[in-house]
Amino acid sequence: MFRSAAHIWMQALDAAQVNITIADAAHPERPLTYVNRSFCETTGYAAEDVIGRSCRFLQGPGTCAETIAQIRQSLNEDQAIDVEILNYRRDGSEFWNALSLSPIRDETGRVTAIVGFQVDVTERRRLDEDRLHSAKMEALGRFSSGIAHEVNSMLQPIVSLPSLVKTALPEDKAEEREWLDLIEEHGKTARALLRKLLQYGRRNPAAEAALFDPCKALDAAAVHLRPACGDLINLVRNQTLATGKTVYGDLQSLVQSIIALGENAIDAMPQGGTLTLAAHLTDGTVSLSVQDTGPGVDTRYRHRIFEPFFTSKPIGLGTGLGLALAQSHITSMGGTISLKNHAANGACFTINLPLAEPDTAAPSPQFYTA
Amino acid sequence: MACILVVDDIPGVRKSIAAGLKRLGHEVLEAGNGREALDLATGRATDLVITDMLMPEMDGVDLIDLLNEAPGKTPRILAMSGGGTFVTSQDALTVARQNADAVLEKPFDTVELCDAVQSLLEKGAT
Ligand SMILES: Cc1cc2nc3c(=O)[nH]c(=O)nc-3n(C[C@H](O)[C@H](O)[C@H](O)COP(=O)(O)O)c2cc1C
Ligand SMILES: Nc1ncnc2c1ncn2[C@@H]1O[C@H](COP(=O)(O)OP(=O)(O)OP(=O)(O)O)[C@@H](O)[C@H]1O
Ligand SMILES: [Mg+2]
Repeated sequence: MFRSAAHIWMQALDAAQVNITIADAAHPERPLTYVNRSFCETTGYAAEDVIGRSCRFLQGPGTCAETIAQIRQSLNEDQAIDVEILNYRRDGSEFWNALSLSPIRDETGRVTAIVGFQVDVTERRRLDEDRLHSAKMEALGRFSSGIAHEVNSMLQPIVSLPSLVKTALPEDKAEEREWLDLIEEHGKTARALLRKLLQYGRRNPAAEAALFDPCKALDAAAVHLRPACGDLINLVRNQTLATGKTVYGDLQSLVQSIIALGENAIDAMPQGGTLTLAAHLTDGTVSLSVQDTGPGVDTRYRHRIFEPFFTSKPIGLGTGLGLALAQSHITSMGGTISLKNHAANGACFTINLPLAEPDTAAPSPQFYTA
Repeated sequence: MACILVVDDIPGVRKSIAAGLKRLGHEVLEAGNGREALDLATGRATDLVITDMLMPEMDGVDLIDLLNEAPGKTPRILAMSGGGTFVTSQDALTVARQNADAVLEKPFDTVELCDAVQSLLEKGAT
């Protein structure tokens, strides 16, 4: 009777849709003693490869050290814990893992084993992040549009008067002339920053949305990027996407987004390298990617690069709006933008857009008007 | 030499624009909102009105409408805007482009101002 009940339990664990793991609590390493079928399927590891090891082999360079410390502390205090942690499959691909650990106690109350449940929540987190990003952008749009009128008016004398004063200045006042240049220059830098910010507030892509050929966007972006590449950077096209296909959205916004990615790639290769603009079509999805041969995005802050105002560049060289703006353009077209970092060959940003057939009803992506 | 009316609720903005225009030798009048501007423009031959869009009392849109309705020669209109939105949440720059003969985005430098004024005056008042 007992044997068959145990057998059914084992079968139940293996049939479960969530990942289930059990570890030995007596050993300080908490080695795994059991993993179910779902665990093997979703992580790519075979049971015999992982039994006897601490489950930390799922962690990698992007995993938050604080979260690991939290787990360690809970285990040491015999406490249950729920966390979301960035993990890596056997093939190196990332996924967000909702991990729930509970101690199992014997009759005397001593913890003998730990059971872990794991659920892949990557998709849910992506949706949450997109929503949060849209909300942030909308707030930023309202804010900049709210201060724009006021601040731009305050800048008017600063931008327009120095040149008038200069013409009234006697010849020998070279130093004063320089000071006036300084006022004018800084006033104009502030103006440029504010205008960039205002792109959020002033955007209403729904008005411009239409069907267009994505190759056109890539061509326009290439024309813009070529001069910026200079002699040191080789601009390469890699295109299997035929012309004549269509996507739905605002052409200009897509061009701007590709340019923003290209400018980042150029910034990442000050010593020169190769900038590849690629366009492919797979299963009804158009992929436009911008790849460089720079150092790649630093893992310490790669989760922050889409935040508005996040920049690793010195003052005056980066405002941190390029990727934030690109992401809001692309999501408003119903697409996604993602990053693959190759340690060896730089960063590769990919824009995925759903193909829209001219004769079918256009999709209705969620535009937001600030 | 022309007679130009500058309309903005911020005195510093009016003054810095007037400064550039006076350098060019124009006669400059200043008003703090649409209502004051209408009072000043009535019964006087104004060649050009440079106006902000968002102002208390009477905004740029109403001022432009009333200037166009008024009998006699209608001055050329150069609208300026730093952005922002009307209470109807319409974008001020977009509205400016729809209503004026030309638009300058604030802040603009004296060269941009002079070029815009020059080309509007060359077209002459209608
Ligand atoms: C049963 C069990 C399952 C675990 N599953 C995971 C997991 O799926 N992903 C993960 O990152 N860590 C998991 N851990 C946590 C790690 O094995 C380890 O305890 C953690 O990294 C803290 O310890 P450390 O600082 O020694 O690495 C699990 C731990 C136990 C006991
Ligand atoms: N191709 C890349 N290689 C390495 N790091 C990158 C790359 N693209 C982006 N980054 C990182 O992401 C950050 C944010 O990029 P983003 O384009 O949003 O802002 P920025 O380039 O710093 O400023 P802006 O684009 O507003 O001038 C950059 O500062 C950089 O650290
Ligand atoms: Mg950038």
